[in-house]
Amino acid sequence: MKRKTINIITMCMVWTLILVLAASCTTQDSKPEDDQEASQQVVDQNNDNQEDKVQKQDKSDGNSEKITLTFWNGFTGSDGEILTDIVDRFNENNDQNIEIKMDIMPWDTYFQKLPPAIATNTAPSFVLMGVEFIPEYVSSNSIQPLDDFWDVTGIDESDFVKNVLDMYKYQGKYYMTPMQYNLQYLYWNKDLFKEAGLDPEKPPETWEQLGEYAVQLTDPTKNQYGFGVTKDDALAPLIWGNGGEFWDIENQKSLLDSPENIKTYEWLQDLVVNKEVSPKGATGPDLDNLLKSGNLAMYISGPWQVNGLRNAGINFGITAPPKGTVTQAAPLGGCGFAIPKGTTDELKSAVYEFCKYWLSPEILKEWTMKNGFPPFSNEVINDPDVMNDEIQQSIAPLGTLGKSYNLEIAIGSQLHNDVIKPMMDTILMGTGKPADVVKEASEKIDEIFQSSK
Amino acid sequence: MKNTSNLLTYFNKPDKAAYIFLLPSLFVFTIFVFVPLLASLLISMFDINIFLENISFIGVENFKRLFYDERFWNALKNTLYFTVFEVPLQVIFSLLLAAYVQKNTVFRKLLRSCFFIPVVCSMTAVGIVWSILLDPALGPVPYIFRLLGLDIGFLKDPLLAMPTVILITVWKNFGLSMTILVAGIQGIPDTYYESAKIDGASTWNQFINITIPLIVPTLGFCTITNIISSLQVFDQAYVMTKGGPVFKTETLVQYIYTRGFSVAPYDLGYASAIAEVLFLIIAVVVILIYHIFVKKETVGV
Repeated sequence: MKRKTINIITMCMVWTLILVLAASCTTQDSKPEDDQEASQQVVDQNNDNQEDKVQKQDKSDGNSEKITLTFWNGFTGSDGEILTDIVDRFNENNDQNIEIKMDIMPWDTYFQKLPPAIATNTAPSFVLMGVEFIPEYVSSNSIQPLDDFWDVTGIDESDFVKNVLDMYKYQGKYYMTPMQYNLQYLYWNKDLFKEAGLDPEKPPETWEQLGEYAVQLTDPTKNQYGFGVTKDDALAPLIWGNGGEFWDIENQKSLLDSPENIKTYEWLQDLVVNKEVSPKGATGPDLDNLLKSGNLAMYISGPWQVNGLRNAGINFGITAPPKGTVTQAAPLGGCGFAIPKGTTDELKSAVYEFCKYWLSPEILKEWTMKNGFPPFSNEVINDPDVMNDEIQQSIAPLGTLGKSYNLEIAIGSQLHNDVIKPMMDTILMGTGKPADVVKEASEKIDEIFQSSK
Repeated sequence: MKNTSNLLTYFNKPDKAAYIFLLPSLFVFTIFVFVPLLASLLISMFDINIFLENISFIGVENFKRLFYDERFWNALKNTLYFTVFEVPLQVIFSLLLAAYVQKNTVFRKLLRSCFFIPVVCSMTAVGIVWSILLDPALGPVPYIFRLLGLDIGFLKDPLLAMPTVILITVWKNFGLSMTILVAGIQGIPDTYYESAKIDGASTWNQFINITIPLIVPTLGFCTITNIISSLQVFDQAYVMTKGGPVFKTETLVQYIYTRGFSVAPYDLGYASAIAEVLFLIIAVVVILIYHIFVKKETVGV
């Protein structure tokens, strides 16, 4: 074969190889995603999220237009299965030919994808996320106001608990429609209580008592811990209970560096570092797993644990967080449906139909009964099945304890991630004195408030 | 037609044909490396977030901010700590193993394949598996140590977290360095070893005085590539420790990711400034190492 021919063939092979590699375009050590299966779901369905689509196709009767909505959320747990079931039923039963294509992904992935998607007008039709993100996304003009939701759908606002509805507003306007709300509660493992000689029906009523119980319930030989604490959680019920505060939103200043807070953090450090009632360096997911494996006696968390604990067969109780020396309070939270700025009016109307479906008593009751989330619809609150449910009987009266931790602050998540979490990490690892750590954290909070003005 | 013919004749020469073969690589390099590098430099001079709202030119303010950012210096320190220990450990371990497995027996060939298996696994999967194995509450490894009377926190212990990440990285990647060094060692003519044997040199002396000097370019290649990848360490620290405990394993690339994509205010400008500094550090280190290894020519024995 002539040299020239060989050269031509070689070049063709090289270019073919380059094009194939460019097309596949994957590397061995690509950036990690927490859940490979969920990310595969995202890849498979992502082609549908490039732009809002209204597919006009004639059905056999020749009249209806199919409306396709794309919907992102991070409900990767067992609550995601219930949500998927509800969405599927909406798709089957709605009479407006609306089809929702839902992408569930880990929250990490969700919050990486959503902002650039909104910025490049490739966001989904609507999303589901925590209410604590409302100020951040409103400040960046990323989500649409939804004040017209109640008039358009004909739903009466007074059918719902006002305090809960207020969570979905920012600066007086609605930016989300309600989906679920929750406080943080104290979970306790009744079997572990019994084994330790404690009354399984009587959880600790005060933080002091909780500390004593935690020590009794901790047994390193069995890998058993009395009370789970993680740096991911500010443990607001403890701080508020003892008369402390984190910040003054109105005056934009830190209230963290106070004698009450320092005393509280010293108590907490002693409990975790010296008495070792919590696994060292545990993250939220670590403690979730420990709770479900029956190795954690007490834990402050939200209603999302209920389904997992039921499935794991754990004999658990749920009640209000303990009282402090001054008061008793729990952080208020929730999730809602938001509509990114690129969604057209036509698709927004279709989203409203789903949100209206969600707020029907049947769906809200199902969510409450299956997931353990407290109801916020008056009709569901007074439903006999709900009133007789063991979990709801425990948590329904606790609504008055709700207090905002970082809602209504545009820099709320920055304060939590950049200041509170590192501060908790240092205190729980025992690598710093609470007085020094709290002072430094307080100064950082003031810096962040200052730079956000 | 004549021009085309002249062109073909010109590029038919081997030294000129090389340019054509380089073109695809250069094209890919330009699109995926050079252009993003320039874009990153540009972005670092702006106050810009991930929502692309309120963009303003701020010059070198992001770079000035670095000097006062404790977390940046901590991440830099952690990255250098990782590099200083991981690279020599990996190269030395790989070299010793390569010297052993380079002989072409069936068993040693099998060993080479086995040692290469972790290389082809995803770092993410490796990280997840090891973080479960080493979990103080649920993992079997700490459990076994507890039976021996040792309570070791591994990834949850501030002092041990980074050494643990380093060891896991070495475990995952040494197979690649070992394979490259095997190729280098097998390229040394046997005559050197035969002469040395006749002169009474021990195996160790042969290794120190023949093998190592003659594979200096290969060692240099392994060192440089390891340094580059170590300075950009991200996957293992992110998956196994998320930068904790108390930021003891937070590396520069992870901090870039956190600042730009993970945590409000999603400051892309500042994240890009950190990325530019990392690029400069890598460039300086690689140029230095390259000169050290390239200038040391292979010496005949």
